[in-house]
Amino acid sequence: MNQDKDILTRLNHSDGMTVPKGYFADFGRRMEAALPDRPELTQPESVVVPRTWWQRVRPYAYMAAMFAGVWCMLKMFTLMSSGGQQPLETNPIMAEAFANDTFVNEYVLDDVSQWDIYDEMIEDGIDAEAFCDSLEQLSQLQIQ
Amino acid sequence: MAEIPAENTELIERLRDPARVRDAFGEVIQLYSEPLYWQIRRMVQSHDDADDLLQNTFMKAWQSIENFRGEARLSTWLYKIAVNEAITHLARERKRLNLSLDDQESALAATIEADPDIDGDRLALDLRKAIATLPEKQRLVFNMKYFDDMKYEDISRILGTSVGALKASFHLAVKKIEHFFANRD
Repeated sequence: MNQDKDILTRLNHSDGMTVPKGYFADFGRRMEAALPDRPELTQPESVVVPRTWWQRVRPYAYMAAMFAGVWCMLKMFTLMSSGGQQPLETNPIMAEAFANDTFVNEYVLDDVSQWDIYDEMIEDGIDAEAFCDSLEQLSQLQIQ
Repeated sequence: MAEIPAENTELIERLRDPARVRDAFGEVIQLYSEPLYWQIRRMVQSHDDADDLLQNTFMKAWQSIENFRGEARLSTWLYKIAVNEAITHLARERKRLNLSLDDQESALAATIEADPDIDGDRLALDLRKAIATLPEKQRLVFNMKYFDDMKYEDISRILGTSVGALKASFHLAVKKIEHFFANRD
């Protein structure tokens, strides 16, 4: 066991590996020949070309264009959302349509059933039967 | 075995000078090829693999020479690249041949047995086999300490491990090698 413990001392830092004769001298030559050129290391730094007016302004122009784009987008969303919610009394298109008797008669009144009218009259506290009687009397008067 | 060259500040200055960098790097190759070769060879065992990996080491060093700013020692920087190349090669071989760590240990033992580049010392051959049974990190620490007689501080800089851990690792490696010799036929 003691002999085994001494083994590293006996080996004297040698592991018996060898290399072919002249390997390291040959390796140095091969390696130096194989190194690729690196012109970026050996050439002086390229001359700095002054920047043109557009190159200097370009980032600011792009930034301004971006803000303009964002503003347009927000404006469009505002228009789209407020257009559908405009009250009837201030909506010029609706005002023009209701001023047209033909439109009201053909598209608005035709779309209302008599039951809807009765329901509204009851809700407003009008006696529907009395109203019908009065209408009948009115029509008879017109006939006479 | 080759000793690690002392740090040469004049050489480092020339490495930073674009006009002289290529010649200076040629000198680096001459100075460091031997110690780096042995470090790699002791890890991969085969001369041909060590030769390829040594070329890769210098090629990578040359490709990134502008990143070497002299903050670290030149030898530490080159050893780091070489060790990394050797470990990556072993991992790549394990993956290529679908080997476990134990299988690779056997494969390395077979490579050692078949190695034509030896001086015929049977005891030395057994030492290589014993070292091949160590885990990669222990093998590296043992090789750097026993064969290159490197300081723990230098090994620590190369492997990025604390000096205390390296001492423990070396001690364990020695115990395992002694155990290997005690149990051999």
